Amino acid sequence: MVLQILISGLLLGGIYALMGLGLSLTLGVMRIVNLAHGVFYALGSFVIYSFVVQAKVNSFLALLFTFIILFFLGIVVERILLRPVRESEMNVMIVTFALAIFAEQCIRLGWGVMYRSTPPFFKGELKIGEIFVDYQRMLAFGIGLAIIFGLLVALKKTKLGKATRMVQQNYEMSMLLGVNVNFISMVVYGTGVALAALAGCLLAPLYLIFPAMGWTPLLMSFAIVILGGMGSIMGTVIGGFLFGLTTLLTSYYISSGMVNVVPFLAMIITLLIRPGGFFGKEIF
Amino acid sequence: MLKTDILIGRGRISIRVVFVIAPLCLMMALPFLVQKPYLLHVIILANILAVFALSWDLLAGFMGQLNLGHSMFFGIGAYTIGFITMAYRIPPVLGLLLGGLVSVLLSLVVGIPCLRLRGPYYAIATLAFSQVLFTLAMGLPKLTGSEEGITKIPKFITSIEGNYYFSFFLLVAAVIALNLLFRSKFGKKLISLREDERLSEAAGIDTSTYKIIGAAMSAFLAGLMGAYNCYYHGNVTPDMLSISLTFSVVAVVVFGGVGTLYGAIPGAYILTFLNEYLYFIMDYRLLIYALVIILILLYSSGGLLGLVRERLKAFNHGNTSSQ
Repeated sequence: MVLQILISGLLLGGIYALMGLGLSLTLGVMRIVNLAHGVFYALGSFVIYSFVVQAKVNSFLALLFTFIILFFLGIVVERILLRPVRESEMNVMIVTFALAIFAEQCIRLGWGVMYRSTPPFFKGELKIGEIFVDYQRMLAFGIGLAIIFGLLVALKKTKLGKATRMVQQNYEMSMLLGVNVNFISMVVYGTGVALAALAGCLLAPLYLIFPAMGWTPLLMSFAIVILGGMGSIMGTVIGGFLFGLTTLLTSYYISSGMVNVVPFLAMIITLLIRPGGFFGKEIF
Repeated sequence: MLKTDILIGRGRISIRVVFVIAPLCLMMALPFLVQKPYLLHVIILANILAVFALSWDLLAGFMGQLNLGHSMFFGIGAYTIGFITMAYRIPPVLGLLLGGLVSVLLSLVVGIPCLRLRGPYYAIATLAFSQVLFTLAMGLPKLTGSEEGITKIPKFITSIEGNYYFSFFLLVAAVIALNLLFRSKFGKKLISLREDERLSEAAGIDTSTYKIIGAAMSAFLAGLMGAYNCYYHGNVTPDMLSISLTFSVVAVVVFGGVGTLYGAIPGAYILTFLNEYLYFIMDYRLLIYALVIILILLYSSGGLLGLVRERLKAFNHGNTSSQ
């Protein structure tokens, strides 16, 4: 049973890493504290639900559509809501907090307050001895890792990625050298939102979906980012796996209601011992 | 802090008379003028919300520290009363103070690790901890009564008029206390944190200690109001720990004007009256708050009081220049 939990936890950790990476990107590059990260996760789940269950679109196609829709939604949000207040960290936080409530209420009105579930992309499970792993978890893990890897390569190799890292390192200087900071900001925020939504899509078949589902992933992402060190990709990925494990361990040994408590404790302990995070400052 | 007078011709009327003393006199006479217990009840709710919002503004508006889990300080005060009255009979004044003190303890637990740091940590930690407490309140039915909460708490003022005056007493006391605070040297140091934290640290202010003390004061006021709210309603529910309560407070202050001290009062009145008299907006309540907050922050961050101040300046300018 312990082995079963460890494996499921690691697989879940891949998705958490994806989610944390989205937040880490917006926080690390643009210093945007995105409290709406969780609601975009929820929105991802609901949009893919509509595609798969209501419109009967193929799951993979629906995943792609959701990713693209949420990416552009993120761009619009950055341009209209965040750019005017970007100078003040407090106003950014209040606006994204209000946005989170706004979007949650929109979901409530649009889809209703019922608990729903989506069918898995693949049915069935793999059985090795005593251990069962369903295909959906493995697939989610695979897609999650592929996206993380793709993003890292894009950040290191492409022109846009290099510009993004430059903005992260020195905002003013990159402006002076002609980097279009506003464009980078839009793309980065859009990517962050799309990553949250993608995590929401991949986990939708495994959990029930409901309008207020976004707050736990939001706090989980912040805990991952704080534990790993803000702006450190390696830290975010390691943090993701750690929290994947602890989530499953707590929900199995204590209670699934207590899943909220773990990220909070981890956050407080990290801030007490090493406020900069445990995994160094390797910048993107 | 309104310092302008209204100039009419050669005379001037102090703005305090128009906006503070006159309404207060009217409010004091209200229970004798009309016999509407429901109206009094709504005003009591508005007063509670106003003081609670003031305590949020103390931290966010004056010290620049955002608290996104402020409902937990309110809720912990209320649950303190709930737990104690189940076992003991204590004098209500002691109960109110105790609600505040437990809330201060909670604020130290969250504040000491997070307020030492600059950045978004405090906002995130308060949001997270309020979620933890909400989960606990829902998930431990034997202790907290889950969704039902703790009911049948003895009220310490039974008449609605009594509560009406007591809630006004709390509101006026809170406003006077905060006014005195921000005129003192200590309060000026707190405000310097908002203006420039690094600079005030360079000027020899121990910023983390001041932030922790400021947060504790804010928590005390919130806990006290939570305890009073619990006595007034005679019950405690997990709603008093919820994100939507925190959000209502943010809406009240942003709508009234962040960092204006008085802004929270009209904000709280408008929101409470809308809530209680327009039933059909109930489902859209949070949606509307969110929209209003976003619009205010995008277009005029001064809120309602900022707007009033601007109008007053324009009005006075028109009057004096025509002479």
